[in-house]
Amino acid sequence: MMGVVLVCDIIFGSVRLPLEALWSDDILYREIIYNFRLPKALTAVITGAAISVAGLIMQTLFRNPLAGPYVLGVSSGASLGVAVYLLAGGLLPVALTQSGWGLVIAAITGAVLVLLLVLAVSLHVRQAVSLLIVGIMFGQIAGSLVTILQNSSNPDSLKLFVVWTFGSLSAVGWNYMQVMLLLITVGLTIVFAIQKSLNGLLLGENYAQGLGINITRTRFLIIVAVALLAGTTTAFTGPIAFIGMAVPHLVRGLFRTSDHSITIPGTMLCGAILLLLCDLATQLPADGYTLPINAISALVGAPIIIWIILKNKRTIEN
Amino acid sequence: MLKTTHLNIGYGKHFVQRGLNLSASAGDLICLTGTNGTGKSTLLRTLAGLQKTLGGHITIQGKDVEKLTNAERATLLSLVLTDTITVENLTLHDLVAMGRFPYTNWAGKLSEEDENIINQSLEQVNLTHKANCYICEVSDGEKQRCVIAKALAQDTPLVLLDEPTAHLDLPNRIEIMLLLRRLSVNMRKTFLLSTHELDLALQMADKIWLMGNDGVQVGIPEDLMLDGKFQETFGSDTFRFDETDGHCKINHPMGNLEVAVIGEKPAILWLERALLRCGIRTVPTADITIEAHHDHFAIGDRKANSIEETLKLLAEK
Repeated sequence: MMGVVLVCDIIFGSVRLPLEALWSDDILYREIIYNFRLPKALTAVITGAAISVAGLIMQTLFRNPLAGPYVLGVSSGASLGVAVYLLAGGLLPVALTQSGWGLVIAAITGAVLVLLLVLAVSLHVRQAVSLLIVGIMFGQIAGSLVTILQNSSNPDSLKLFVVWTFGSLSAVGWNYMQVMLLLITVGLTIVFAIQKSLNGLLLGENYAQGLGINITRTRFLIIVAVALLAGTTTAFTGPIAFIGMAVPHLVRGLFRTSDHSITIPGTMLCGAILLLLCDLATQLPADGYTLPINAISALVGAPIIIWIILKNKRTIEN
Repeated sequence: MLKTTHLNIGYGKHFVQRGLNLSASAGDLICLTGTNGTGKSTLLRTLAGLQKTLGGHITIQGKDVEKLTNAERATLLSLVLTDTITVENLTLHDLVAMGRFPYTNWAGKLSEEDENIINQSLEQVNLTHKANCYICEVSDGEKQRCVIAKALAQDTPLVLLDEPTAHLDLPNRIEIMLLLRRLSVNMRKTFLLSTHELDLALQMADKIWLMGNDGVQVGIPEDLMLDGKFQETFGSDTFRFDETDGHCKINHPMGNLEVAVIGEKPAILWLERALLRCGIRTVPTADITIEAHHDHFAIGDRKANSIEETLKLLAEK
């Protein structure tokens, strides 16, 4: 299924390609596929997998079905970084603002800064719920700073910033892709390595500790993994809403299990497919016009979350 | 097996109990009881390593618990807590399988031996037929038994249980206690459980750890009862422990009405209970005398067919 969606995603775009284009020698087709469609489709796969896994481990850590990669303030931190970079950019050295890396570095810096703060707090706070609230508060503070920056910036840079918040999968070229892939791989490796501790955390921190799991270390690794997975993708593609929160629920429902040895790969697969589908949907209007990915992912993700709430309500009533 | 020396427990700078010297042997079923706030949960949590000691030592099989890593401690003691388990899509088998965590590799792969232990644990608590049910589908009693099975699968000499019978109905409470009783005898495991179920504790425990505000009284239930330690610890004017059967009797005299009661068992026993419940004292020298017969009650020349009618007659007086 993933292969089919991937091929569809490559073929359909603002210029519709025939299926033969995939193997034709036509220089124009090759150019479009190699430099535009393929990187974009790969970005969708990597991003979808990464933010969904980030959502999964957040939900496990906080034992809260509505936690997502952004509740720890990752996206707000990244937004703050980008806002500082784009809106207050005049103050930064030209060499930094001219290269495309500036935006990426700004976003990662912002995300990592917020996560470092949360991490520092996590060493002193025992309860995961308190940590969740602290994360949300840091996110709020970052959000307010962004608003202040927006208020006092010129319309041109404001537009640039707003476009970044729409999210985009097409901004990642091959040179960025390598870095992104490397960081995501490290993040996913950490997640696979702690899958047993994640399963233990499902029972709550006391039981997990009783099973011999080192809570502080596990929590630290989870936050590092989220920083890598969500921070990196947010930096490269902008904030992509709801996928990270919604996909883990879909997977647990589909596979009828909470065992991380199944849900981690399952979440990666479903996240990749769902984001490819979202990307396909952004091109529905066709012919030179695409919708922002963030609008579509929210349209897909929000109903899933409503469904979860209704489902939970039913279980409580029973 | 389990031994504490000069153990201080509490939170931060606040001491709840000081200088506890307690010990338990293999196969003991110990009930930890006492009024709220005397530190039952704090003691269990400290023994479990979930919170730091504020001085003193805990040893299990001669090993100093505070010097062990989490993983080492998990092979010595397992926990049954009051924390609710709300995982969606977790089968009973998978929950019990988590008990094998201290013994499996990084990916948590279960060997054939692990599977055998899981199945045996489920069998011990009579849940084999529900192994593939989801945890959210079974009753509270079954859920609690399953958590106990998880603790059994963890294969530790000591099991700590924090109020394992709370929220359960009477048959389930008794079943859980019988289960622990059986396991402690058959498997020589030591169970330490906190409970407010005095009746059950008195009838099932090998030892009682009775926590008061100024330390812990240790002994077999009968000795503690005979020495009046329960009355001392729970001490209150509103109820007393009946010295003949250990049940607690609520004592709340209302008004000055006193009656004398004579007659046959069991009618007289239930009549006395009814009077006690209504706050009417029974005194042998009282002016009013109630006669209890097997089919009727009489106050002077007036007759009543039930205890309810007797009480109504009394109310008229």
